[in-house]
Amino acid sequence: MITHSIPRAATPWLLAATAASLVLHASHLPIWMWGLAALTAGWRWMVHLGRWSYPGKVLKMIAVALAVAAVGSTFGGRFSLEAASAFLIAACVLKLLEMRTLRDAYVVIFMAFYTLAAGFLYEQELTAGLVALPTVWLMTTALIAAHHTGHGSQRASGVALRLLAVSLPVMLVLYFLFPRIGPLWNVGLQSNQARTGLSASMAPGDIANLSQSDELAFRVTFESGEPLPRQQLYWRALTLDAYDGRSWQPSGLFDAAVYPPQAWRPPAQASGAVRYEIIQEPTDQKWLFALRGVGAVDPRTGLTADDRLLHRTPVHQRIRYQVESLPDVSIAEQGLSRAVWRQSTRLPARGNDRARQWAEQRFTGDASAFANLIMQHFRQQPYYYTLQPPALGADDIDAFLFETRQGFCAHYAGATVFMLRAAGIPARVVAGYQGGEWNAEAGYLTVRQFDAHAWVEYWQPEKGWLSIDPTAAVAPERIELGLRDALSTEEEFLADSPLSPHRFTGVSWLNQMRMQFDQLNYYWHRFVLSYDKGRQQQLMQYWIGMQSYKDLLYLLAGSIAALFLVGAVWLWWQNRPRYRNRFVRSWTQLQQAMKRHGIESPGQTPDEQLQQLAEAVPGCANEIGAVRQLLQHYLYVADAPEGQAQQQVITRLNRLRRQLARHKSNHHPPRS
Amino acid sequence: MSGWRGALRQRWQRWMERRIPAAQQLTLGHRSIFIFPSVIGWLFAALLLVMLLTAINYQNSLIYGLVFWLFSMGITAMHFSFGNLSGLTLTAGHALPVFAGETIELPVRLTSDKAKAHQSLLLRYPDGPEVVADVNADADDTVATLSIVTQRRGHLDAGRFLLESRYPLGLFRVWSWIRLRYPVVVYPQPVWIPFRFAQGSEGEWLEGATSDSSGEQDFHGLRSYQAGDSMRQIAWKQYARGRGLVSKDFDSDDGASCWFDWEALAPLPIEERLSHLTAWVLKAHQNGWQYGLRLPGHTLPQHHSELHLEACLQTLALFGQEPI
Repeated sequence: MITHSIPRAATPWLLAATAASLVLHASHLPIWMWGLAALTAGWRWMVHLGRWSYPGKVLKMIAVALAVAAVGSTFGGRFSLEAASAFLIAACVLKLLEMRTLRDAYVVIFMAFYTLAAGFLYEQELTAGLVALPTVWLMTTALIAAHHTGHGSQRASGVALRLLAVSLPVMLVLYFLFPRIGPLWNVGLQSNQARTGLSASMAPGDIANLSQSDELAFRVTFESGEPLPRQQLYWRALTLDAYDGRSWQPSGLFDAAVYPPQAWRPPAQASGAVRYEIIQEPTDQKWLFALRGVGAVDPRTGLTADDRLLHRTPVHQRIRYQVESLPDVSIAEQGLSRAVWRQSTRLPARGNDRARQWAEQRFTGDASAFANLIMQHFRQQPYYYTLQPPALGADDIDAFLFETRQGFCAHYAGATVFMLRAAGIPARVVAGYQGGEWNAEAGYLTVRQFDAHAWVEYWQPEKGWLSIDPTAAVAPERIELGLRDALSTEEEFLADSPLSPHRFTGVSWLNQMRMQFDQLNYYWHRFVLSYDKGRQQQLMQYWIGMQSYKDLLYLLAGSIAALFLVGAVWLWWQNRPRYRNRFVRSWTQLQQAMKRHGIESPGQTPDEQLQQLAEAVPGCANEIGAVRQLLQHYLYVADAPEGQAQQQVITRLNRLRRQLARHKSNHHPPRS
Repeated sequence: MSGWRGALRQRWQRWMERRIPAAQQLTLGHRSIFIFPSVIGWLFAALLLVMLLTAINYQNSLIYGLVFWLFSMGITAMHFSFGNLSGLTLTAGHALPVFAGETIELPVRLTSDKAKAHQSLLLRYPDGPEVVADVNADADDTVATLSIVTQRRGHLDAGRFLLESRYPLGLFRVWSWIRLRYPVVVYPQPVWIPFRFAQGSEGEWLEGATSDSSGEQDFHGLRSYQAGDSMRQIAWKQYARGRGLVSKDFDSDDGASCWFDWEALAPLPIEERLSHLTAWVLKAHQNGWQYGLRLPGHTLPQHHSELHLEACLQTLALFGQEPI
């Protein structure tokens, strides 16, 4: 059976299914892999057409060796997720070359199934889900076509469609009720693709690169349903308190985190506390995003001493977490530890002398006054906010402050911290995101990479850490409206992606469409991609008030059983005997009863059958004789097949059937 | 060991007999259909397990979704596989009699009730060739012709054949062992030995023909062909020489006639006697003789016709068995 060759009609489906399973891998497959796939599928197609023959053993060995070598060299021996996928895909497309029997078809299709699943590790957007639907359909069709003998009238594609549609209810039940548990072991295989996003070091030009990307960073929903004003939406991710004369980095003093329940959280009755939920895209980093004055609520998130949230492990998958913040809480107002103080006031021994002088001359001893002075300086002097500042030389802060006077947020934040530290005030750069786009209809805030921002925190006795944003002094519209409106007319927003819908917010219908699509995406993220243990429990409690996993398992088992029952009933209903009329039904049932007495003769008249029955069951001979007469009359004499005559015959037939049941059959089926 | 096996097989056959009794016609339903995951089905389950582990470890909702979809597709496929056989009606077709030891062709009529298709069915007797059939919805019945090598004379007991399908996905094997009753007789295997003369007037079975008779009746000459003449009587050589159809004219009244007698073959065992008698009957028929048959309890008068031949062969086949 399994060594039968594949029916001709199945080959195109098999090739199409294999091709479709590669689509989601488009972002990372090396170019030669497409070549290999095209070559093998093309060759197999020529074989199908009967123009070429299958490749020989030697050629296949060479192909396998080449593919292995190519994967090895492309991924430089590092065993990443991409390398593993490439191996799988190479195996799958090479198998096409020797796909002859049903067994080969199974191997190909099973590999294609897994290839599709692996593709979801790279692409999870709504579009990926939409691509997967026809792919699964193609695979199922291929599998069915492989089982066709070629005389059947049913079309594989139609049967596949029915099969998949009928399967949906069970799938949904399993999807919602199957207990979601955490990873069973730590996944060693990670993608080696660089992620767009904040990095842990900030040189003056860094954040400007991020502003070219409209990729999603995270989405926020507020418990109150209303967002805070834009000016307060400072999403903190990193504090950069080490300066090496060129770039800013975290010093490592704040790497430790305290996890709930020991971690601080806003008191229950505190006024001004903000509760919100964040769905964050993978960053491959531990840091999370939160507003100032954050408290750790979620057991997976810890609180650091510099008021940030950390995840226990690097975030390789999209995650969802609850956050509480008390934005106007004072932080470390009672004083700084010696180590933190020294780290927060440290500057390189040399360099940027003009800035140091400027600070020393103007500092009067009050940190806040000095910070305001800097802000005022930026506001009043001709400073410009631009994505493309001129290049800076060795003393970059001096050059920026006193010569070019053009910079992006990183320049302003870096220069400000430098001057604060030059005046002896503990200060640090904070990197994160500012603002976001509020979708009023669905009530969520979308923060994208171009919202990346850097600002400043400095420390003042009795007040603790305070934040200022020098960019707001130079370009207030960056804070109030966003990056697009802060850029001057000569500079293009998202210049590197001319087709990005975010560039056309001026065209109202386009913007409308973009918002609609983004909303779809948001629901997709919220209800599909971030459907995890927590969401599952929420949903179950909300719907059916269940409390524990035990309930969930009962519910799961119950639903599956119910679905099985429905399936069985449906099957029975499909196959229930159907009769033309009530007389035919009684007669058929009587025939069943006659079978037990050994009377079955498909080609005989009812009268002949009953005659045989009378011989076989002498005890009922009288009754049978009466029924025979009645039946002859009903079938061949009576003019109305319906009505009284029919009812009479049916009654007699049923009575005879019951009589037969009382007579023990002395008929034994012949022994072989 | 083998005894134990034989006992087990017998038990199994008895159980089958009770569960799916032999019949001329059978409609497949819950009692007669067996279903079990195929090897591929188990492998598919293993694949889903690996996928599920991937989904759990990467916390990937879409892979979860795919796994559950494929899993429920497997469950649905189970129902589809079962439905692919259930409701199918198999009827024993008309089989032509053969001699024991020859291959008999057994047509199975496959009928679908209602407008339902039954796809990719495989039918096979344990030692016979495999036959593939499809029953399409709203179409005429399909006839699958199976064949087995007959062993014994008498009423044919073909045993059980396997009806199997893996449609639609190959994840489940659905099958049934079906025993159809064919109202057909297997004639005894003809074993030729030269005609024997019985001694005595009572048992003399060959009259009016010489012992070295080459099977020709008294030959009167040729006459022109008349409608109704047996094909065997046509002088084909003459026809081939272009003389038109002429018939050999036999004098069938006092032509060769004979009796085949059971006793003439004493003391051979029953089956051998039947085999020899069968061969003689065939030969006599071929020779165009009038022949009669005397068996214990049966006597068929002398005659010569196709029907008579059939009656003789049937009598020989069913000797010692109950008539149809």
